[in-house]
Order: sequence, then C-alpha cells, then structure tokens
Amino acid sequence: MKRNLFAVLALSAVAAAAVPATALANTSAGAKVVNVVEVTYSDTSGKNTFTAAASTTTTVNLVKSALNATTAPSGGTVAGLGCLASVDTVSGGTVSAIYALSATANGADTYSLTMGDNTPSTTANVTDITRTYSTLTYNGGVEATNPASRILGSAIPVGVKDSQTLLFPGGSLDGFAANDIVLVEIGPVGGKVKRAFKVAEVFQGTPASHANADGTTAYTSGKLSDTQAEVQGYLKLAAYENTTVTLNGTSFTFGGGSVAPAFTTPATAPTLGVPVGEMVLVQVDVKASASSVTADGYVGYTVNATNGSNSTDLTCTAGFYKRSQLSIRKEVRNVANTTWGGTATGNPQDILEYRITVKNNGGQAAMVSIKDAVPAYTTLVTHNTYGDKAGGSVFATITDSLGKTVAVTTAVDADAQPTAIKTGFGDAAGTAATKAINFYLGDTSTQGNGGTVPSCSNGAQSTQSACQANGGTWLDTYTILYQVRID
Amino acid sequence: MKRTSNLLAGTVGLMLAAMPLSAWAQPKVAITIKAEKEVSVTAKGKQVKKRIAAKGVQPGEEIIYTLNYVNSGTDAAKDVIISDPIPAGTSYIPGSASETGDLSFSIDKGKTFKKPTLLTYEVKGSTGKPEKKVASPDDYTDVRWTIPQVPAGGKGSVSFKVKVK
Repeated sequence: MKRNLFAVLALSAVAAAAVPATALANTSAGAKVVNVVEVTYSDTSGKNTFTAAASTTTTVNLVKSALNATTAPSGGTVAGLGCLASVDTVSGGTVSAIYALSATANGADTYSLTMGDNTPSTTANVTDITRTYSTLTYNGGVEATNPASRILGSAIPVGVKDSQTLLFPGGSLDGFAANDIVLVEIGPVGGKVKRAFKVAEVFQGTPASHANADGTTAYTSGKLSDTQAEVQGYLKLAAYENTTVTLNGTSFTFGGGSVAPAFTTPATAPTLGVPVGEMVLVQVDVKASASSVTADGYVGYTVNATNGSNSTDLTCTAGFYKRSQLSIRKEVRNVANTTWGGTATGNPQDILEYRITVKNNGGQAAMVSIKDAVPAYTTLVTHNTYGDKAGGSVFATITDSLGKTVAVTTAVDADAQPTAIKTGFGDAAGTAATKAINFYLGDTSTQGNGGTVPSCSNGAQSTQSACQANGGTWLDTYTILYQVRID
Repeated sequence: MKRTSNLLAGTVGLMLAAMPLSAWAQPKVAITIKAEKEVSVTAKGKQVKKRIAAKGVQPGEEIIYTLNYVNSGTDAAKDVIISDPIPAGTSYIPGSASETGDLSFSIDKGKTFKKPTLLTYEVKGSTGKPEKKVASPDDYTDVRWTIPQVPAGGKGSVSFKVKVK
C-alpha cells in the first residue's frame, strides 16, 4: 500500500512538470473565428461534381483585466510599484511623482480614473490639500489633467513580421495609435522582462470572411476557396527614448532607454500569447500646507483605475511638507562689556546693545516680522557705530546667514538691499522709551511687511536640500542689532 | 431551433418549385453551419447546460460547430465530402467530431487526410535520425467527413468542437 502511494505521487509530479508554460495562451478581443465548411458531391453518373459552402463568424470577446501600476520605466523595463521617495517640500508647495499604468487585457478597454486619500489615511499635519493627476504623453507632455477615464489598447501577438513588427489577428488592434507606449514581454524562458517601446505604426488588418456568411441559410453554392483570407494587423514598434524632466527640483528620467526592438533575435524575442499592453504615464501632483509646528506634514493619495470589474490602486504618500520652526532670542550687553547675556547692568548714560537672533530650522515661513519697543528709561541711539545715512537716522542693522548687512533707519525710506534677495527692512516710531520698533525680515520683505525666512541665496529654491544641491546658501538666520542709552 | 428548421423547409420548397419539369434528375446538396456554445443556466433550482448561439466567445471557451446538410435534389448525391478547416485561433477538441461516414483529419492544411492514428510527422530525434510522431489534436488543421451517398430528400448533420486559444 505504501509503495503504491509513492508510485502515485511520483506520477503526479511528472504530470505537473509536463504542463506547458504557455497554457494561458490567449486570443485578442475583436479577433474573428471564421469557420467555412464546404460540401462536394457528384451526381449518380459520377461525371458532374458540385460544391456548396457556408460560413459562420464568432467574435472573441474582451476578457477584462486590471491595469498594472508601476514606477515609470527608466531603463526601459518595468517591474513593480515603488513609491517615489518623499522629498522636503515647502509648506504650500507641490510634491510630484510620475508612475505608469499598463493594460493586461486581451483587448482595448476604458478605465475610469479617480484620485483621493489613501485608506487607511497617511495624511497628517496638513491643510489645504489639492491632489491632481495628469496623463502624460510618451515624452512627458501633459495629455489631460484629471481625466475621468482613459482608453488603453491591449492585444495578443500571434507572430513576428520582422525585427520591429508584431502580428495580431486582423481587426483586433483597437485602442492603439502612433506614439503610444507599449509593454512587450521579451526574452528567453527564465529571463523574461517587460520592455517599453514606442508605437511607430498601427495597421489594423482585416479578418477572414466568406460571402455565404450568415450561418443559418442553407447554401447550395460557393466553395472553400472563395474565402477572403485574413490580413493580419501589426504594430510596428520603435525604440522609446528617455526623457528627463524636473520633478521636485531635481532631475527625473523615464523612458525606454532607447532600446530598439529586436524581435527576430532569440534573446529578445517576444512571448506570443502574452498581451502587448499600452502603458500610460501618470503624473501625480500633491499640494498641501504644513499645519503643525511640531511635525512635518504628509499627504497620502490613491489613484484608482477601474474598468467596472477590476480595480487597481496606485497608493503612495507624499511628504515632507516642512513645518516652520522659528526661534527667536534676545540678548543684551553693556557696550563697555563684550559678553552677551540675558541681563546686563549699566549706569545712566551707559549704552546698552540688544541682539535679536531669528532662526528657522524648518520649512519656509512667510511674513516674518519682529515687533519690539524702545525699553523704558532708555532712548534709542541713532547715528551710531552702525553708520549714518542721508535722509534717515540709522539705528540698527540686520545681517543674514551670509553676512550681508542692511542698515535700518527710523524713517520709512526703502533701505538699499545688498542683493536682489532682500535681507530686511525696519523702522522706529521714535527714539523715546516705549516707542515701537519693527523689523521685516527675509526675501520679498518690504518697508512694512515681513518676507520669507529661510530663503535660498540664489533665489529659486524653496527647500534646504534643493538650495544646497544647486550651490546656494540656505539663509535661515537673521541677526538684528540696536543700541539704547540709559536715561 | 424550430424556427431554423422551418426556414430550411421553406428554402427546400422554393427550390423544388423552381425546378424545371423536364430536367434530368439531379442532386442538390445544401449546407448550413451553426456556431454555438454551452452555458450553465439555473432552471427550477437545477443547473442545466444550454446551447446558445456563439456570436461572441471568450478565450478558452468552446465553440460547437454543427453542419447540417440536405439533398433537396431529385437524385442521390454521391461521394459527399464535407471539409472544414479548423478556424484560425482555435484548436480541435479531441474526440469531438461526430463519427458519421468516414471521418478523417489533416495536419497539412487539407493536402492529405488520414485517420488520427495514421497522422504522423517526422522530427529529428536525439540520434539525428528522423523519428515518426503521432500528431496531437492541437496540430489538426482540417476535419473531413466522407459520406458515400445521400439520397434525394436525405439529410443529416455532423459536428465538432474547438477551443478558442
């Protein structure tokens, strides 16, 4: 008994190994199964031969199949979906990522697209969220923004016409057009990859047909050779070149790696019976504002593509929307002394110097202004060591991280800024005790409104990493100095 | 089904009426082809299989082809040969062709027809010598029935199944 069982097991193992790898062979939707039957016969004399023929046509239906969501190809091949790394983003800024959706059905289908939060949500510490998706052309141009649906072609190759051209059943190439991107499974068994090519030409072809074609009429005429043979359709494919775009302030490259199709070479031959599916690039743009001062913001998102039966979710998280981490410190010293501290002592007529340090370790803050006042029992010092200026009375300086210094006058006189990236402005309502002193810091500041802190010394970049990557200095610290005389 | 046979009878009648009275006796064989598929339906709580017209099929589904022939002539038809190439994109299902008359198959697109066991082809064996192999039903390109005689007014049908690849 034991021996018999072993024998049975061994047999089934052999049977399993014998199952061919192409068992899931498939036929394109829209392909026509045309069956022509001919009857030949002769009369009783055997001298006269007659024929009759009839035919019937069955159309292969679409077998719906979910889209594949993947990372956009760069070397030309695609595997799974890897969410693009979260990048430092200014609050209120946009995080972008490019992914790809590709068809796996036996025919063209319409996929409805929607975008929303992910489930469970990874969205945190943000407000004013805008999620946008765009379908892209092969070279990154925007095809449509927030399209409700997209048709993707897909068909199953039945042969190879030449090194660049795949054959399909006549009339089964709906949904394909020149400049579409398609994924073709190529390579030997054990080394198969999905490679992206660009469609150069689509030829629809025509299915086989026969005049006596209704399947119900009893035909007494016609013959097999009247059949109009099938003209197979084809997709002529070409190398899909790489394109580089700027995404989140850095370069992002995608494309087919300019690898030309070589379908007649065994090592890069296509797998017949496996769908050649259109791939559409999808750019995701997520805009949000950091709403917390204790943690950076994140936005979860899901792009859903469904054909009514099968659903695909492209789920990732965008971050980090940098929170602002502004700190302010006020120190004082008697100018006769060199040590800064929280307290200082002085005699009447001694001069006290105040130093205010504003630093932002986090994301950009806008409208940064400092309100101060001339301390009680003191008088603001003007025309002092900070210099003098015609038309105004210099009483303070503002210095940024690069050491650029601007003189501040009591009058509203649009102080000259050292560079196009503004350092700051200020004013004093008067020199007497309790009179208001204001400082307006950072880029885009004006004589009356605060600016952006930090900013990049080259102006264009809005995050520290992007600024430094572009050779700029991240201007995150501003130092204000002013002096008062003890009454 | 009933409608189809009525139509057929109507056609036959028309043809008989159109025959000139002085004509020599002559056979006239008409043929129809019908594509159907089997679907499972629930009738009175029981699952039953039902045949419906196969206008559209999914890959992997079977199509049942029924070929009806009728001799509406005034004389017997001799050496009636019904030839049907297996449609492109499908493969013949072993054992599905009706055993009517002399049933044979081709693996060379209708050039030669043989009984399944006689359908062989040669491949180069491991020793380099040609080896004969029996063709598998996947390789069949054509199916053919040979019926010695269909008398005047006689009719019949043959059928076979294919699987859509």
